[in-house]
Amino acid sequence: MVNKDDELKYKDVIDSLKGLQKVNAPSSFETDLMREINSPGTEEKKNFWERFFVPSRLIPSAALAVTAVILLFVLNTDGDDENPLLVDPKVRADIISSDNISEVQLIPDDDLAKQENEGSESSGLDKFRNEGSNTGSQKGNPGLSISTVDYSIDKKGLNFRQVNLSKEEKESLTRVKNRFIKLIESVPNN
Amino acid sequence: MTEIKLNDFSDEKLIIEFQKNNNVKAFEILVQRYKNPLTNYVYRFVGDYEACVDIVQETMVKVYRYKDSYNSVAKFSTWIYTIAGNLARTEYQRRKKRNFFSINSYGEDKNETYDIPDERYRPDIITDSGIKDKIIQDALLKISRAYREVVILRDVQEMSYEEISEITGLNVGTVKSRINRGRAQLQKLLKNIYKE
Repeated sequence: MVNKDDELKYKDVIDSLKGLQKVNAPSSFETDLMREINSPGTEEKKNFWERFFVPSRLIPSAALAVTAVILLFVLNTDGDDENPLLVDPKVRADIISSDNISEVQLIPDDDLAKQENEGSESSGLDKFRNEGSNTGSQKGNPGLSISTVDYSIDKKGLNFRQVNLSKEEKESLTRVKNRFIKLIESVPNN
Repeated sequence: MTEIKLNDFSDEKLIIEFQKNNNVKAFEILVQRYKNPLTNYVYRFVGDYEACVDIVQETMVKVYRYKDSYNSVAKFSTWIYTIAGNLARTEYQRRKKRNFFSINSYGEDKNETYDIPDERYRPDIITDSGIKDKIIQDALLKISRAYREVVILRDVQEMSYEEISEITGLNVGTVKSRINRGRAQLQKLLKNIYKE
């Protein structure tokens, strides 16, 4: 019903299309067709895979591949290469030498505060280095001297990254150490 | 088997005869039966007679070479129209690209589309009613390709919706709606000749 309605709606168009003059094939159609079919140049074309998998091509290429695999196994039996998973990682070059600092001296809180307030040209570290050199490790600030000889870090066998500290960084590190020690001392002993 | 007997065969019997016995006579009868309907269909779709003859020739060559791919479940007409339709669509796309590059390369307005007149085949010169035919043909070429194909199959080739559905691979509902949309576009384009 709907189709009939549509066909009525577009009756003019449908009639026009039906009334179009029929276009016919040329009279030489069959002759040309048979010539094209029988011409040797237009034989049935095989697709790529059909042409690829012909024995004349497949056998030599398969033989070549097999030979290559065999050669690979025969020539590669030495196994000189070390297993990278079993090799110890290389240790990075040492930068900090713990030998330079043989001992760390601790300065009492009051003295350190005085030194900082004085604003003297030489840093705190230099001062107690001097003190240490003048008095010796046993003399200067008795009871606050910590020997680091036993705890010196042996660079052999180290397997972590070491950082090259500048002079300023070393000084600030020492300052931090001192403050930390002061904090420990400030805690009352039970 | 005599030729007279082969002429009485249906299309399906002829192609099976060609498949099984490689009887070229059966193929020739099929060519005789389909060369004109296919030429008409392809010409209305592509709009160029020489290209249309080439496409129909190629269709027949494919039928000849790939006869074994015909499945006896389907109608022969559906199969051959599908082949011709696919080739026509490919040719249409090719020509469209070629025309696009050849015209737009002159630096004209890129949004404007152009109709290239085909002067090689002029039905309007042959008959008095040719002018109207030419106008209708031009209008057919202006509607979208998807609509044009089904409109030609329905209103020029007078096929059923089911046959068109099989040829185009669309469902019947889509075929019907496309035909109506195509007809509506044509009616708009041809309104001047209906006023007369």
